[in-house]
Amino acid sequence: MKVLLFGGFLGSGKTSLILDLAKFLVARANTDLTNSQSPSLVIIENEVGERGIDDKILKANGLQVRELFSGCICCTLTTELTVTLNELKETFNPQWVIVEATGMAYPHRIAETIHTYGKGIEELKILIVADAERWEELTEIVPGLVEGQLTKADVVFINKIDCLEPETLEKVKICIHNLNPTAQIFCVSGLQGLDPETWNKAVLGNE
Amino acid sequence: MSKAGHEHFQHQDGKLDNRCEHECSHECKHEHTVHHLSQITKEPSIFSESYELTFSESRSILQIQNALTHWLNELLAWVNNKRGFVGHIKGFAEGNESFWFSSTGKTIQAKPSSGWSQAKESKLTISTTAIIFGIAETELKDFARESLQKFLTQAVPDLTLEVNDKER
Repeated sequence: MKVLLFGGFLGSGKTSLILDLAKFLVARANTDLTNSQSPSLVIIENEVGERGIDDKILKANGLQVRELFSGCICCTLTTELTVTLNELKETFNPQWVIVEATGMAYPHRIAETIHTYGKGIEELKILIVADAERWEELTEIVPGLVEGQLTKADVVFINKIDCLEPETLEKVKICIHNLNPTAQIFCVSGLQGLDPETWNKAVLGNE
Repeated sequence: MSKAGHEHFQHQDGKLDNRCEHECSHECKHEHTVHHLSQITKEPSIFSESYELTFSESRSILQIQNALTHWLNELLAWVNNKRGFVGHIKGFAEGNESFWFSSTGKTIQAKPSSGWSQAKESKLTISTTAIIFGIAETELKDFARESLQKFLTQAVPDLTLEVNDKER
């Protein structure tokens, strides 16, 4: 069971990218003749607010979703996350689990919990979605959070590049590289969808 | 978001807090709204409600889509006037078909399911969440609720609208 942990500020486009990735992973599993009977993908949703929206969008697209609400999986719901992950491993053993954190969570804290208490996890990747359209505002208003989310990411998606001039995008890219020189950085537009090749590189590590 | 957790918006490096100790009379290099937000923003205010809409007969739901768009625009303008900051506003309408929309205060993203524009529905569930910084939660909830109900009942006067408190 491989875990992909998605983070990034509110409205950065996490759900749209997850939807795109889910389609990529499911299509890939369907063409894999060696695939077992276990479901290829389960998504764990952690949302701000009493009423879930993202879980409904994902379910409406035919995806399997587990919801964790009324708290944050980086601080108040760590036990619930561990229990859910371990239960998924025991009952379904999916090939992939995608965890969508709230936009205010620090994903590296979630990763620490999973590393410490998760069972049977082959691989864990932290993927952060950065909102290029609001980069300047967010780094003014919540610099600690933006930095905290980005600095320990394995992969960074600079999203909404369709809203930016190339020079501005380049500046954002340099800022993010300076914050996290080891992360793989991809400039994407969730609105337009991602090239499968991008998912191959970002998730499967195929260069 | 539980208040029992840590404060996610503490400024870890102190940069903003240091910049904002001064009065506003001098020339700031950042925008005034941002300047004020940095002083008041810690945890966001959240409006998160779900409604069950029942129509007297099956009908096109495009008017509901328009009502939700009007609501979103009015809410964005209100937050802007109040010098608040939009974390995220999003919603999902679901009958046999579905439609979702979201905004961070810039453009509005909307995506209907393939059969949405032709669909006729007699019932619809609408879920909405607005996560806003810098405005009191009771004020946000009162405005968002009143505005949403206003646009929905204007769009479809014969609808029955009930708050859904069963979800969680």
